[in-house]
Formats: sequence, structure tokens, C-alpha cells
Amino acid sequence: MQAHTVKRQTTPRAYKSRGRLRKLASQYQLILMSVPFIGVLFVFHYLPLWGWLMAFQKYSIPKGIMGSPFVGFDQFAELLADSRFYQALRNTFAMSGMSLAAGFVCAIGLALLLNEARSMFFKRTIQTIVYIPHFVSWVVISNIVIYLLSPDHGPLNELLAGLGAVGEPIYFMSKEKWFWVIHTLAGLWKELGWSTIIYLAVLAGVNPEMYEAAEVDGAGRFAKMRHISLPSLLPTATLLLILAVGQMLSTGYESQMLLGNSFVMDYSQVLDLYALDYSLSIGDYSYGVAISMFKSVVSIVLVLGVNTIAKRVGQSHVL
Amino acid sequence: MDSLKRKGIALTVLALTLGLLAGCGGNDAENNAQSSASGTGAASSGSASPAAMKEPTKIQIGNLFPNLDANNPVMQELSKRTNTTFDLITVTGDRNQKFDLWLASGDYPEDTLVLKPDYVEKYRTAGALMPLDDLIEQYGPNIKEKYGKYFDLLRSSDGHIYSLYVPKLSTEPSPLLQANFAVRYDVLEDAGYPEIKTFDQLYDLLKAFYEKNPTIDGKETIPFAGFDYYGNGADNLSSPTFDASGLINQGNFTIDDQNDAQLLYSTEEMKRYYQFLSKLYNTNMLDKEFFTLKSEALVKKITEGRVLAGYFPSWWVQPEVEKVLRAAGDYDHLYAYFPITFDSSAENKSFTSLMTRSNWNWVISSKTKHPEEVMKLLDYIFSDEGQILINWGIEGRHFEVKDGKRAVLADFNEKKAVNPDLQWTETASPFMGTSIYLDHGTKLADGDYATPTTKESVMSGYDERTKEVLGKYGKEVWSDFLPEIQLMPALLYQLGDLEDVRADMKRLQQVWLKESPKIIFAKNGQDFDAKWTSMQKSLEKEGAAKATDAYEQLWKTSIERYKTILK
Repeated sequence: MQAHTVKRQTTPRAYKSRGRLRKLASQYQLILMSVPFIGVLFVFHYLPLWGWLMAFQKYSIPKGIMGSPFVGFDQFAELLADSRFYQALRNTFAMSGMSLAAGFVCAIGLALLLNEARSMFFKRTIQTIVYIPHFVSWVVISNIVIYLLSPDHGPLNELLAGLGAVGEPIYFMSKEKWFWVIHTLAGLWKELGWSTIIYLAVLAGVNPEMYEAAEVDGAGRFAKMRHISLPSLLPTATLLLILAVGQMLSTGYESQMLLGNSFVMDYSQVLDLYALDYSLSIGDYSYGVAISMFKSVVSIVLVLGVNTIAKRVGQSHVL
Repeated sequence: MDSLKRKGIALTVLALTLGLLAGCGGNDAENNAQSSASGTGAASSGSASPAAMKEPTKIQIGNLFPNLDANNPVMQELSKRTNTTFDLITVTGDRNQKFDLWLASGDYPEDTLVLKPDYVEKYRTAGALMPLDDLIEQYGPNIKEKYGKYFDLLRSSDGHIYSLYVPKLSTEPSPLLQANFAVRYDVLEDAGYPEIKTFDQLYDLLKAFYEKNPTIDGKETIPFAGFDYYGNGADNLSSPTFDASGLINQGNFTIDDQNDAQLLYSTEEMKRYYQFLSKLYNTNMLDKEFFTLKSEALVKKITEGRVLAGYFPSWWVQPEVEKVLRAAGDYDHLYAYFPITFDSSAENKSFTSLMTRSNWNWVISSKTKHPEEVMKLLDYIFSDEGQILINWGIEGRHFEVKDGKRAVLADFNEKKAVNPDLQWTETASPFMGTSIYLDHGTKLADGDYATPTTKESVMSGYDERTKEVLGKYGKEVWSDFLPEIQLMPALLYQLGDLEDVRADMKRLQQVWLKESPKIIFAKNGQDFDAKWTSMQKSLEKEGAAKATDAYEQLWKTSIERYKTILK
């Protein structure tokens, strides 16, 4: 009797799991094919997480992960108590935010305008010209920017002096408050052309019948841009925004390190530079891991946040 | 049909997996191929030597030079003479990170490698190094002979020897050494070639020339310039302060006769140098871009003939500036180098040398299976023969002996001038440039120099104009202007850094780097003083006292130890 009940209870479950198994079995080719890639993901993205242990230790290389003493949350406490950390955090958010905003608006704008260009030759030429800086390294870009803005016969100062706008040449690179703007503009110049590529591709895929229908309805160029081109771009733009927000804290330090100098240190130091200065360059790996863990957590929160907002307003979302 | 499809899928999966494995394993395969290739190369050269010799020992060496050709004539000769073959493990990319990685993974070279003193200490605490005392006793006659009374300086704080580096044996300064304050020839000529000794003299000299020539080719003259090499402006501030004050350069601290340390950023000496820079700035004589100019941009200003003077360290000015100006035939705009100080009557101690040159030291790995062979190899490098081989090369191919004196073959010199990379395929070895070659200017037992860099060789690189300017002062090379070299058992900055105050030091440095330009660019004396005081307050807040105490303690313990050694 008892055995009977047990059997009756388990039967539906068994059916269910058998159903799942059958489904899996019927897709075994696909599953097998994905194994190597999941393997790669695991080896390169999950195995290294083992190293996060360091953040809770006073890690020293001779002792290794197994031998270093555990210190609990000391590293994080130190991090959160350091005023320079907040400064770096502020700078990172400010510069990433400015680059993100400027990059989005300008790239979409440029894509819309290029899409309207009638002459193919003109369009291609402009595209090529705006792509070029993307392939130039930050070292070169920063030298060009510093030269352009130099108070010692730099072209911009010569121009301003020629126009009679300034008496004394302006030392742009020494102005603390201008650093964010200079950095954003330099980044915009470097990456603008490159980031229009996706938008142009999307615009090329818009069904021409929609434009024709709009024309029949009497829509002009601007109306078509506003009501057809722009809405077609939005799903892609949202997707890119979500991805970009996830990267906000790890935009690298190259540009800030190369453009920055001792005058603007308070405004140019970003998290990655902070991590480099206070952990790698002085051999304090635990602190570096703590910083990178902090970054990961904030990034996940940001991505989830933007994703939720995108879902609410009915745009495309990643997760 | 179905089985065919299935096979196809299985094959795809297999191919993808193999592809991945190949991707991961590629490196190993390459390494094997490389080591076997060098193995065969060595074997063939080995077979040429008498068969009576025992099998050559294969020694794995950590090598810092990616361009080094492991089969160049000097390497082959060294192989033959020491009956060894070499397996070079070359460090590429960031050296410190590589050394950390090696240690963390236990994957450091099997036999011998070259490390900076702080890494010697790291490797030692991890048990990766072999104590060398007994090995030197048995197999290191040349090391003992070269060290003589300084032998105990090799010992680490626990009394054992873990790394090898050369002692300072020369009595004359390296002829390449020069003071760092540079003044242009035509400015000196204009004033009748005075010898510049103090900053007041320098200021007056520059002012006089600047007033006569406010612009050069339509652009403003820049009487005093500097450059920013590391992106933080420090190059213009700390070393010049030591030089200008005649103090021993101890890094971030000054140390007085009582062995008390003071943070350099709070010293009167630094304030005085800042005042000099500030005075230049307020009379429009300091480059506007003093703190932000990249070194290439300064070279451009110099070649435009606008820069009259500056703090130009020799590691930069010799390769980056002098070469360019000489190539352009612009001899008038070359620079003379004077050890300028604030007080010319006080002793100038800023030119120091350690009694030992501990910089890139050779260690023996605890993994080695034949420590005696490795020690014999290192000991051979310490011998006169070994020194001649790694510094001069091979007689008849790279140098000749004329009237009992070694001289680089003219033919080889010419080829080297055309192709600077020639050294890698001809004379270079992993030992080059590390702490195992004797200083330039050192004489070997035969009374001749250990390296090809001699007063004569330096002078032969000068142009006529340089010789003329030096002649006005009755000197032959720029090192002739230098005060006596101070021999020190240790310097604070090479004693390594203290873990407990590492972050504090970094914070102090940032305060200093950030505030210094503002102090120097202050509009007047009152503003200057206010900003200086405010920096001092920030430094105090960031733990200046704590860091200073820690380093003073480190210095006192070490100096105590050296005192007993040298007694």
C-alpha cells in the first residue's frame, strides 16, 4: 500500500523529467556543439574568479593564495575610506557619462545626416574620413590634441589670437575644469565615425516602402527622419546603450593617462588609473582585486538598472 | 543518410574542440621547437671542440633582451670557454609583472636569472633562491678576488649571499657621466665662457642673453625648459632639487649627517629650488609648458634653437638631443653641462656611487640541478677574461690590441654606427647592462680598461665645437667638471619599499605632484609662501611623519649593519 502511494507520487515527476530529458536528447547535436564554447567561457571567465579570494586576504606572492592570511573585508573598508577613491569614481562616471551622451547623440545625428546624403561619393568620402581617427592610437591622438591646444604657438591659440579673441595664449591643458570637456571632445573625434557604422547599417535595412508611403502622405525630409529613420534606430540604440552602460566603469585609462598632467590630476584620475597606482604599481594585488570586484558589482547593477528601464518603456532589452 | 549527418556533426564538434586545444597549446609547441632548435645549434658547435671534454651543461638563463641573438659570436665563444650551452628564457612586456608571474606560478628559469634588489628579496622569502656562500667559497675565486674587502657587502640581512653584482673598483668617474644642468654654447660664448657654478650666475647669464634675444626666428626664446617623461611632472622637481642643493639623492627623502630622514617635499632645499623656478616663471623665463611638455615636444623646441638651458639628464639628452643636433650640424645649439648649486662653497655630494652596483643582480634558482656549473659560469664573467668577452667582444673580430691597449676595430665601429642593432647579433649577452659588468673607467689587472667606453672613446664622439668649448675651460670631457664621487654603502631608494607605508607614500607623492606646479606658478612671493604652507599641511595630513619615521628606521638599521661590515 505504502509502496503504491510512493509510486503514484513520483510518477508525474518522472514523466516531467523524462520529457525534459527527451527534449534535451533531441537537441543533443546543438548541445554538443556548444560544449567547446561553454568550456572557453568557463576557463577564461569563471575559473579566474577563484582569484577574487585575494580581495579578502593580505595577499603576498611568496605565500600564494593558499598561504596568505585572510583579513575579511579590510581591503574594502580601506577602499571606501579613501577620499581619492571617491574622486576617481566621480571622474570615471563623469567622463564615461559625458562620452556616452555625446557619443550617442552625435553618432545618431551623423548617421541620420549621412543617410540623407544623395551623392554616394560624398557619403563614402565623409564616412572614410571620420573613420580614420578610430584606427589611430591614443598616444598619437593625445599628442595631436596637446599640440593643438598648446599655449606655445598651438594652432587653436594662434587662431584665437588672430581673431583677436584672446590677448595672452590660453593654457588649455592646465585648466582643471576643462579636462572633462577636452577629454570628451577628443574621444568624440576619435570614435564618432566608427560608432555610426551600426546605425548606418540599420538605416540601410529600413524598408523603402515606408519612405515611399510617407512621401505619398506628403512627408518632407525632416518628417521622414523623425517618424521613420529615428524610430527604426531606437531598438538598436537601446541595445547599444545597455551594453555601453555595463562598460561605464571600465573604459580604460589610456586616454586619461596620456592627456592628463599634474595640473588636472584631481579631474583626470579614473578608477583604472587609481587601481594601477595604488595596487599594481606598488605590488598590492589584494587592493587591486577589491577595486575590480567593486567595479564588477557596480557594472552589474547598472546593466540591470538600464535593462529594467528599457523594459518598462517598451524598448528592446538584453536580459 | 542519417548516419552521414551524425558523422558530420561529430566531426564538427571534434574539429572545434581540437581547434581550441590547438589554440591553447600552440605556445608550448613553439617553445619546444625553439628550445630544440637552439639545442641542435649548440650541439653542432660543441662537436667542433675536442671530444675529450665532458658533455656541456645546459644552463637556463633569464634574459632581459628580446632582440638578443642567442647564437651570436660572443655567446658561442662563452659557450665554448665555459663548456655550457644556453637556454634563454626571455622576458617580454612589463618586467615586474613577469617576475611576479614567474614567482606566483613557480615557473621561473631553472638555473640563473637577473632580478632587481627588491625582487631578489621577494624571491628569497619565497625560497626560490639558492644561498651562494658555499658555492662562492668553492667555485668563485674570481668573485672573491674582485670583491676583496667589500665581500661582506654582498650579504643579505640574514647573513647569507643570495645575489651577485659587481663592486665599484674604478678610481675615476665614468667618462660618460655629466652634470645635469645644461647651458647652451652660444649663451656661454656671448658671456665669454664663464664657468657657471651658482643659480644666481645662471639666472643673470640667461637674463642677459634673453634681453638681447627675446625672440628667435619669430618665436619667443625659452631661457629654461623641462619635460614631463612619466606623465606626472616629477622629472622637473625631485632630482634637480638634490643636484641643486649638493645633497645625496636618496629618492623621496633627504638624510642628514645624524642619519635623520626628512621628506624631500618638505625640505628648505626643495623650497629654494622652487623659488628659483618661480622667479624664472614670473620674469617670463620659464617655459610655459614646463610641467606638461612631452620629451619629443621639447626636442622640437630645442631644434628650433629656442631653449637656452634646462635640467637635462644625460640618459635623455645624449641619445635624444645631442644626436639630433650633431646630425643636423647645429653645433652652436649643443649644451654644456655644469654641476650648478645654490651654494658653491659647500661640498657637493650629489654625485654618488654605491660601493657595489646592486641594480640588476644575478641569482641562482633553487630549482637548479647543477648549482656548481652555474656558479662557475657566473664566476667566469667576474674574471678579467670574462669581462673582456662581454664588454669588448672577441679579439680580432670586435677589437684589437694595439701597443698593449685594447681598441675597438675601426671596421666594427663603422658597421655599428650604420646599424645600431648590430650589437645584438655580434657582442650582446644576457649579462650586458646588468650589474655584472664592471663600471666604465675600471682598469683590469693588465692595466687596461674593462669596457670600451673610455675618455678617448667618449672624446672621439665629440664634434670640433664641443672640443673647443671644453678647451675654453681646460677640460677634456664633461665628467671633468664633476666633484669627487661619493662612495656609499647603500642609498635609501635602493633598500626597497616598506609595505606598511606604501599607500601613504603614494598619497604623499600625489599631493606633492599636484601642488608643486601651483606653487611654482604662483604670482608673487606671498602667494608662493601661502601655497607652500598649504602643501605642507596636506602632506602632514596624509601621514608624512609616519612615512618618514618608517624610512628613517629602515635607513638606520641598514647603515648600522654596513658600519659593522666595513669596520
